[in-house]
Amino acid sequence: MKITIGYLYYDLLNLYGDSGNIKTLKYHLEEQGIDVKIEYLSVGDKKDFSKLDLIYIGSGTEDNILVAIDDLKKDKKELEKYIKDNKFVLATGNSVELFGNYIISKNKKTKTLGIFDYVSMYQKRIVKDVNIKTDIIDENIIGFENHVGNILTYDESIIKLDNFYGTYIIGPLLVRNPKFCSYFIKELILSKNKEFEFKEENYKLDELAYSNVK
Amino acid sequence: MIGTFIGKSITKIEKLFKFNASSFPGKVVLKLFPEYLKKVKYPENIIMVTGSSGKGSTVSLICDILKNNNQKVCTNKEGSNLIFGVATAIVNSVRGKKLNADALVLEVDERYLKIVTKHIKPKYLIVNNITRDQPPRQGTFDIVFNEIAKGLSEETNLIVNGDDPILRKFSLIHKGNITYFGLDKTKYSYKDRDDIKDYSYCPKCHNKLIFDYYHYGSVGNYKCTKCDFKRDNIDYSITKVDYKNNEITINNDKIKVKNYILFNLYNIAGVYSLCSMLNIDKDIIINTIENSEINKKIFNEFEIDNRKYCILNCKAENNATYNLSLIYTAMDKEKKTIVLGLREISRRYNHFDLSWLYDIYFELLNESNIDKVICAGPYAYDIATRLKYANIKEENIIILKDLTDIKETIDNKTKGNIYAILNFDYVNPFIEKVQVKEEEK
Repeated sequence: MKITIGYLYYDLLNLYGDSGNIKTLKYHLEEQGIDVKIEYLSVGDKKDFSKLDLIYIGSGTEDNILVAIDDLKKDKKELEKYIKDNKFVLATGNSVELFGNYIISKNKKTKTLGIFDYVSMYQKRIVKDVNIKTDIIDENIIGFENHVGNILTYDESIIKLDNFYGTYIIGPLLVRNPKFCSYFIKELILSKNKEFEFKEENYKLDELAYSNVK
Repeated sequence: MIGTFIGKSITKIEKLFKFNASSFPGKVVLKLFPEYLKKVKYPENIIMVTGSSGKGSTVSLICDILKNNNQKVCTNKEGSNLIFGVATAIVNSVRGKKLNADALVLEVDERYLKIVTKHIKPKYLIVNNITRDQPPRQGTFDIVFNEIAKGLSEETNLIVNGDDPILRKFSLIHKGNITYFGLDKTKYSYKDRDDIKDYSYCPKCHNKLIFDYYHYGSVGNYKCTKCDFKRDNIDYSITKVDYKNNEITINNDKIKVKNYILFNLYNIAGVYSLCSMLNIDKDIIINTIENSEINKKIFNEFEIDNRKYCILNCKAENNATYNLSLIYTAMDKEKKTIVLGLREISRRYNHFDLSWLYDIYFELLNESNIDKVICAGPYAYDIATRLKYANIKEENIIILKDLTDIKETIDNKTKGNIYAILNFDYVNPFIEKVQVKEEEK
């Protein structure tokens, strides 16, 4: 099996250790004997989403989020189709704002992709640890948030809409949550082959780090 | 001025009781007399240094050179770099209405520059670097840039690292003079490395920057693919690094150096630029740099049991300090063991943010002839997990929950030179552990 990951704005939205998620995905997919291809896509690149099995996008400075919106506008229809086809997206940090209707800051209202019905309001920076129960897995999801936008319609820290996973948690979400990582990777593989026979996984160190959180 | 009397009295009382509060007197004076600093008569040369890393070392080197040039210098205590720390230093040097010094040299926190410059306008401002640093406090490097920009005014001569596109971005907004220092291509410059780059796009027109080579992060030789934004006009450039003879060449002057950590080379280039602009005799500049003592808190080398120990001080939540240490480590081709550790992520706040570990290019260890990597401290598992995803073999990783057994572990389970890449809060505890054993023998 071959899985192609589109790492969107790898050189623009990489502010808080986001690339850790790509390293983790590659490691555990290859552990399952899967051929992993990473397509590095950024500003000005032609983006053929139909070739991708997963889109990953991370956090950036407030200025760079605007640069990304500007670039991604032209691909809106294709991206909307990709998501409607129930293919996988993982958006960490403030990149989750790209998929809503607007980003509203003190003196500006910026139209975003409008794929999902939410608005992010820029206000005082939110900096906090996360340790929450979700409907996705039994174990709590942990992480850290650092952002100025706030999506008021969701009080959960993770937005899951079919195979779209968006969260304000920054950085290496999949590393810090081995159970979630395992679940996510299995879902991704099963979407390509329902009969897939899984091999043993190695999350030894990840689990020890997870259980170390007070 | 009555403020001076009050400030000096508090300082004397503090000294009498052996308090070491280096900003309290300034705080009291500014609370009572908010305009105090504006009323002081300053010498012509007011120099400030700001940036994410290396402010203290830079200020201390500048002060040494000025002193060797027979100038009386007023400076703030290292780390006391907010407005009250600055005020304390000044209050204690004022005689009558005048600052009793030939030069005022201040280390200023990035976010406090705009406040300090409301009171005192620097004639020279060195910005060493702006990197990822304490994100829960600073947000992003763009915010730090904007905060520094608020402290600039036309009369300030800005001195910055021209190899860094984020620092050259000041040329788009600063109305005064800008002087650039830099480092030409060295044998350790690289082109293709999958590390994290802070700046990949032109700050002027947002098109892609292309790099001839990198020194670290997005620091190197860049030019915009569309507009005229590029590395050029380097006024004071390190043109040659002679790794055999421990010598650099800057504007045709040869200077002996004690280590090649890039921040050290850039700090020297910045200081050399400033002091040349002050027309200080070249011999004084060179001699002072060559004879300056290594700050052992930042870089320390010693030998125990015929094994070389190199201690590299880093800051958690600051990937640049770690990346420069890893680049330095990789220069040594001999077999080596790495120690990584920290006690606390931050002294300022109690957060559990580990994302910065993934902005550090630990993958470079694969090119560094490594025997073992020891991860020590409360975050040992998190560091080890990071190493796993940098393709370091798990059987080569040793985990210690604290430093208790560090010496035995190094002695019995590892080979080669020891490079201890430590957060500043683990530097002294580590040195005590490995050296105490030696004395007991």
